Amino acid sequence: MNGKVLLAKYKNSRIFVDFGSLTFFKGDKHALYKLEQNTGTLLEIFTALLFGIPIVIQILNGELNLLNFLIPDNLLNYLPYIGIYTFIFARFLKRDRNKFDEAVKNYNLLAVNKKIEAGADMELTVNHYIDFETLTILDKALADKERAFIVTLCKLLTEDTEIEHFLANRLGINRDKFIEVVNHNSHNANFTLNNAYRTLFLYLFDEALKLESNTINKFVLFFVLNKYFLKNIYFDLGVAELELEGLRIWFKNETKQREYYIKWERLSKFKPKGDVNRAYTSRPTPVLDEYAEDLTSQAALGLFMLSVGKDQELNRVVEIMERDKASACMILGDPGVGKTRFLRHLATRMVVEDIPGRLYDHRLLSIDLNKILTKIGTVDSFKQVLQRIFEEVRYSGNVILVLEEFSQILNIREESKLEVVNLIVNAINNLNLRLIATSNNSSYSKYVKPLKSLSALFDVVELKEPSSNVALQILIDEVPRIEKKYKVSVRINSLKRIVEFAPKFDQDRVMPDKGIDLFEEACLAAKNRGLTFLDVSTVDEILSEKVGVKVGNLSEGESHTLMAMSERMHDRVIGQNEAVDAVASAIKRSRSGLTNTKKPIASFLFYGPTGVGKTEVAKTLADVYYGSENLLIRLDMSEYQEDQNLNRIIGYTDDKGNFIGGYLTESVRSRPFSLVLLDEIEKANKKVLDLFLQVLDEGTLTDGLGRKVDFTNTIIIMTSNVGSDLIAKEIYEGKKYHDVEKDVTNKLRESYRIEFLNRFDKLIMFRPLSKIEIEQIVMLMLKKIDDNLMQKGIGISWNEATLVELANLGYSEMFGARELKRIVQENIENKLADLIIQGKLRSGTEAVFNGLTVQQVVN
Amino acid sequence: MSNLLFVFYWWYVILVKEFWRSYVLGRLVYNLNLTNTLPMAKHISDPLFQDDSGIGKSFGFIIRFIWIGIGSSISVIVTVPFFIFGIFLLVLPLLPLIQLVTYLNTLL
Repeated sequence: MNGKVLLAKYKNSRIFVDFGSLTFFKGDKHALYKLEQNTGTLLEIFTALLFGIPIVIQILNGELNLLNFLIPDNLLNYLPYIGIYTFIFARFLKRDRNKFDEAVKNYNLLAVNKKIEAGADMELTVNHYIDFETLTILDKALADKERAFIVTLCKLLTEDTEIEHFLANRLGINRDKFIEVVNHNSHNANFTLNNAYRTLFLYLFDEALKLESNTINKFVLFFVLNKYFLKNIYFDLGVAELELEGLRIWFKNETKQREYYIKWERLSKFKPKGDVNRAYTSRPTPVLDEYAEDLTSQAALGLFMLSVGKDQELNRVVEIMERDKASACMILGDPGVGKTRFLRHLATRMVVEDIPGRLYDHRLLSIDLNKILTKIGTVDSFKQVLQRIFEEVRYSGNVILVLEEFSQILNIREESKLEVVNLIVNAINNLNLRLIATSNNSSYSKYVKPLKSLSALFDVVELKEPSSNVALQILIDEVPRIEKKYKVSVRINSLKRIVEFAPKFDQDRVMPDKGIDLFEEACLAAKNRGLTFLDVSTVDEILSEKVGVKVGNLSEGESHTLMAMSERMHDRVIGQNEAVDAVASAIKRSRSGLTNTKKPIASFLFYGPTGVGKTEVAKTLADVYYGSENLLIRLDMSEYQEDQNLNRIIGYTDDKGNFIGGYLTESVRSRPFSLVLLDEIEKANKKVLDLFLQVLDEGTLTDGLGRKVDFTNTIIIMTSNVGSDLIAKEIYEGKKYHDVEKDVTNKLRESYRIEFLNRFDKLIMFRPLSKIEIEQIVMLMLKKIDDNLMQKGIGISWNEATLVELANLGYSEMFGARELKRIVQENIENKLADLIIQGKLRSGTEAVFNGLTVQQVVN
Repeated sequence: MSNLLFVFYWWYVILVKEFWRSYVLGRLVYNLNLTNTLPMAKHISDPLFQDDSGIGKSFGFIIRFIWIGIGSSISVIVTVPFFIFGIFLLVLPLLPLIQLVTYLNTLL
């Protein structure tokens, strides 16, 4: 490669790379730089001699007079003046290269890009924007003819300590391992200079713009290499694309925050320490000072805080506050969405003067009206204080007042409420106040919205729960604080897992708050285990401990559990081999990551005669998958036959305005990792069934308050007896399972809508149990009794007749094996209980059954 | 030769300019802000604490005027050493030339 090469045309401009200048030092740029430094040191010594020699000679001659140097009358006395030039030259040679380049080259990539975007006709040479450090790396890599260009570039770049830190601490990759894998891929055709240069230099330019950097520095180079050349290498090293993107966001946030922090450090010193502004045009506010928290003063004194991803909302609030007239805005957001942090960010912006000029020197004061009311005690006194507060805000001229959890103050007696509301309305309208109120959505809807005169005064700014990308950025933002607190180093993949799973816990709170809590919990656990870093496996363990379900990638142990899943289920469920296998396969599919993550883990419709094990399969699945039969939420659908029963499932607001939670939605909110069993759906109202279309399709259900309840970690099983007669008839006629299944599916279609049936992962037919299978169930039950008695040292034995008689009594064509449990209780357990109470059956003895009679008790 | 001239370009355009920007003018503005002189000057005609009465306005003007006088004096005094050093940096490369001319004059 030689000279200037055109990389691309963009709009009216052309983008070049100049290989002439890039390869000018033939790989010795750094060596030359060192030579300059050493020469500079020599010149400094020489300068010292030029200053020192005349003085020494004068001393030796015994005629030291410094005035001789002011007006030199001989060449010796003139030497220090030559020393001035050698000194200047030495300083020049030892100058800070990056600072020098910045000043000389006037890096202004962002401004240049603006011109290009506006359609200017320009020639842009990428290397003019590359800083000295990166140019040195490129120069050396271009001179290395032995290895592929990208391979050398990776090697040189990762020698940098900051880049190495990124690799080791954030991505969990050892540099030597990284270089080994890169070397292993050195034959990749894309790594040669000829194939790589166009992508590399063009995207260096593009990436610098995306990172809002005026220069192309080593980090820009690192991210371009990651994104366009090393994806497969990272894949081999177990690093996902999202983690690389997370690292990029991390760097961008950190750079921006550092800039902001420098600005804050400089300007916070100028902020007034008291309650009046610096020009003394405002008035003191004694009442406010007693009750309010001064957010700007706290921000100036050190509470530097930024909220991520809420710039738009913040700008909107600033816009509202800038108005001439009375300005009031209501910040709406659920608890944990970041309202307090949002206000602290606003205070920080006020301190660094990142707001319109007319709001400079303003104070952001926050009061909690409820706390004031509690402190004062009576509503009358409260109103007086409130009036004085509003007047102080009015006359101070530099206060923006924040009313925290504003809606809650309206939760008082009706007549007092109206008086307080009138006071606030008058204050906003007549006193020209600048007000910011905060509230959560439900309180706002309940208390403020119905009062039209009040709600009309506020411009609503809604803080929504952040998307997973923004939540990741917020967690990244928290890393320095949490790392410092727990002294563990955090890897990106752990944050990714937290963002993925935190929304599923504690559905009463929202992200990012609960994500941050989980993050802290994980760091604490890592610290307690003596780990120096937090990675995805630690987070997985903590999550698994929390919910009792394996989360994360399949570990070896869990693979075995899943592989043995059908065996474990077969041990508990007699017969129904096809059904059990179908369920086990669906669960395996889900855990291997093949299924849609926006749906429940699995959903099944079990159909077939009653008493053949449908519920037992569900219970077994809850036990095997979630670790406990208690994690089963059961709804008997015969209780939901009317339209209005819908409310009992999703919740409703009663006549007094109180929200009554729905049985299903509240159960899933509190236990998101559960199996939901809807029994006998043929008895449910059609509208109730329609409710589940959303659950099966999107994995969510909207409750009576409009909140989305997450079902993506549930397994949904519905049971139906539709077609049971046909199943029984055809099975007894000797038809094969799959043939019967086909016939009954048609019958199902007559009873349920196609779109409903299509939403299940699998429709599973349960066939009637044979006599032998019933006897096996009896055997299982007897074994269970025997196991229980063994703990007391008592044994039981039985014969063939016992099994046959119990099977005959417990099974009917109408109810299947449903009565079996009761029959075993009556004929076996009751008899054993009598013997134990009589003292005939005690530790070390065994009850021997012959049929249903206890034949004898033996020692 | 052009490289040699570049040394002087670096001295004046980068080093001396940066010193004046950061340590002389920057320091002066910083001190004016720190002593509250600039906000007082911006509001010289505004009364103190919104006292719009005639006496209030006059009193405010006098206070502000005195404040600006004292504040700017302090700021300037604190900046003087930096200012002198800035001048020194400006003339430093010229000193050998000036002295050379003086020396040659003494020879003649």
